[in-house]
Amino acid sequence: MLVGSRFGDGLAALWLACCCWLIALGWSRLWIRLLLALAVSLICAFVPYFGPMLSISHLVNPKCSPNEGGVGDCIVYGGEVGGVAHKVVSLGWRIIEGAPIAIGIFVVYAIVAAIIELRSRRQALRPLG
Amino acid sequence: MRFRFAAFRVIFAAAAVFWLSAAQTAAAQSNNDPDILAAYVYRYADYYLPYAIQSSTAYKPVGTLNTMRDTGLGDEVDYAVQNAIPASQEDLRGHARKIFKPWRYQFGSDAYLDCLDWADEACKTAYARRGWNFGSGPTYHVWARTRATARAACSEVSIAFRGTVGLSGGDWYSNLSRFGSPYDDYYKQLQRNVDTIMRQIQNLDCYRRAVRKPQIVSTGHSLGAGLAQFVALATKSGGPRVAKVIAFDPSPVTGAHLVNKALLAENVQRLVIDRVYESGEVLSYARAAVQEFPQAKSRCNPQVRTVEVKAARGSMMGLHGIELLATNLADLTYNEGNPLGYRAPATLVGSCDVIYRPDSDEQLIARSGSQRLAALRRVYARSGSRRLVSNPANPAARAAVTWVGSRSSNGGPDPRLAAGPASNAFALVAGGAFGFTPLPRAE
Repeated sequence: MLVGSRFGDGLAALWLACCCWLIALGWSRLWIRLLLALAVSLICAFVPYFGPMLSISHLVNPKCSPNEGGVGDCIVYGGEVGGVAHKVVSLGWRIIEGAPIAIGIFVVYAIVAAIIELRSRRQALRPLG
Repeated sequence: MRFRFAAFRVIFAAAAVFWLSAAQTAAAQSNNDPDILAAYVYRYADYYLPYAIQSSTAYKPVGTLNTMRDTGLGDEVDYAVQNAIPASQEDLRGHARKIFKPWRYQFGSDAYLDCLDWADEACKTAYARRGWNFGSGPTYHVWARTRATARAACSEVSIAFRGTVGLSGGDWYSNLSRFGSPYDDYYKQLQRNVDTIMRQIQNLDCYRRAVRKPQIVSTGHSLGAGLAQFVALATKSGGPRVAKVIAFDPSPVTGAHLVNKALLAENVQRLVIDRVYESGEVLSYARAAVQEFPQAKSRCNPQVRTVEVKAARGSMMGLHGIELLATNLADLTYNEGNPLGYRAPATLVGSCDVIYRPDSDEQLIARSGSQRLAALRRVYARSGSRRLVSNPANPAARAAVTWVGSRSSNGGPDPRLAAGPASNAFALVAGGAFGFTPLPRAE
């Protein structure tokens, strides 16, 4: 949940920029770079917000129904974990902040990668000497 | 190669600037909260409380409430209050029970809505064109408020919608409805059934017995608040309409994109939408960025009123709960056996007329408020979640605020407002931190 919260605060932008840089260093073909960048962006867009929810989904039972209203207890193995379980559901809303960041970084990266590719092709076509 | 690294420096710099600005904003929001967590909303808190209780209860199964309704003992009142206010606040539960006593559960649904009335051709046509479905539908409970003088008749009927539950695909696809969805989400299910729900309300025994036609309101929390706004925007032309929406921590999605413009223009006429939220909750930022129609600045047709409850601190996600909001609303106007007076928000603001009229029973429940300020001091001093610090308002602000608060018999400032913690609370109003203008007492 901490990761999800911090990502929404903009950490996703730095993290994704690092990923894009590593992708550019590690792969030379444009389509591979774009595919990897897209995959990383989608992971950063969804997983930090819905991952925690997925992780608690198996806890749901008649005595535990996590909801964003914070209504009701969530008893798991005799212990009350309602506070965190309910917050995890609300965390999903932060996708409204996180997804545009991830998609925005991908778009910027796609433009930069395409320009790099064009420049390198032009340089390759230029006659030597 | 040189070009590539130069380009990535730009990306890193942009990302770093973005991150720093976002981190600073988040830090400012979490660390510089005022120490006096109070607001002008205490005057209206009890008015909103029954709807907050209904929105909270909407998270509970319909079957349980149906059983309680069938026994006819009014057990649903206790059940609803227990769901809205934690057991640790037993005194507040007692207070909330008194406020919520006139309400009775009528009916509800938590199943997928195909067509509630198969004789409805429009619904059948819409159903034939439906998208994929998850087998889940919007959960709603219908409550009716009975009159103090005539228990068999009701004066107001409320439809309360549930918010998001867990990893429910139907709930989350509905939350993302604004971006277009091939799914038969809750907004679409409600769109084809809203008129049938209105007819079911009109067929209620207490509705038919009422001499004056009861007004219909809708309420809900988060996703439920979005759905509550949607039913007000999507009711069929010429039929009964929703007079008012009380939306708690509402979703920025209202489903307005699904309603044709002519019907939308008709349904927003004289409509009131009160958006009540806890300051700093997770959706307050989302609404500021991507609020669907109607916008918060709409002053007439529809009249959108934003009500900020600044009575707690915590994480964005923690502040989003309806249980917390309902408890705070109850706490703001109650102090160990001393319920404070409250009023309904004004029905006529400027020249904008609205359908909604506060129930005349409000007057029976609302007290004079003469004890309000004395008791308010104890309210601020009592709660562990609130801090009371010295933050004296300047005399000029006090003078202005005194007029906002109340007037003595000779028209001058009321001396009771001049000192003590209450004046700190009023200082928020004078500083323009809160969105309410002085309002007349509901008649």
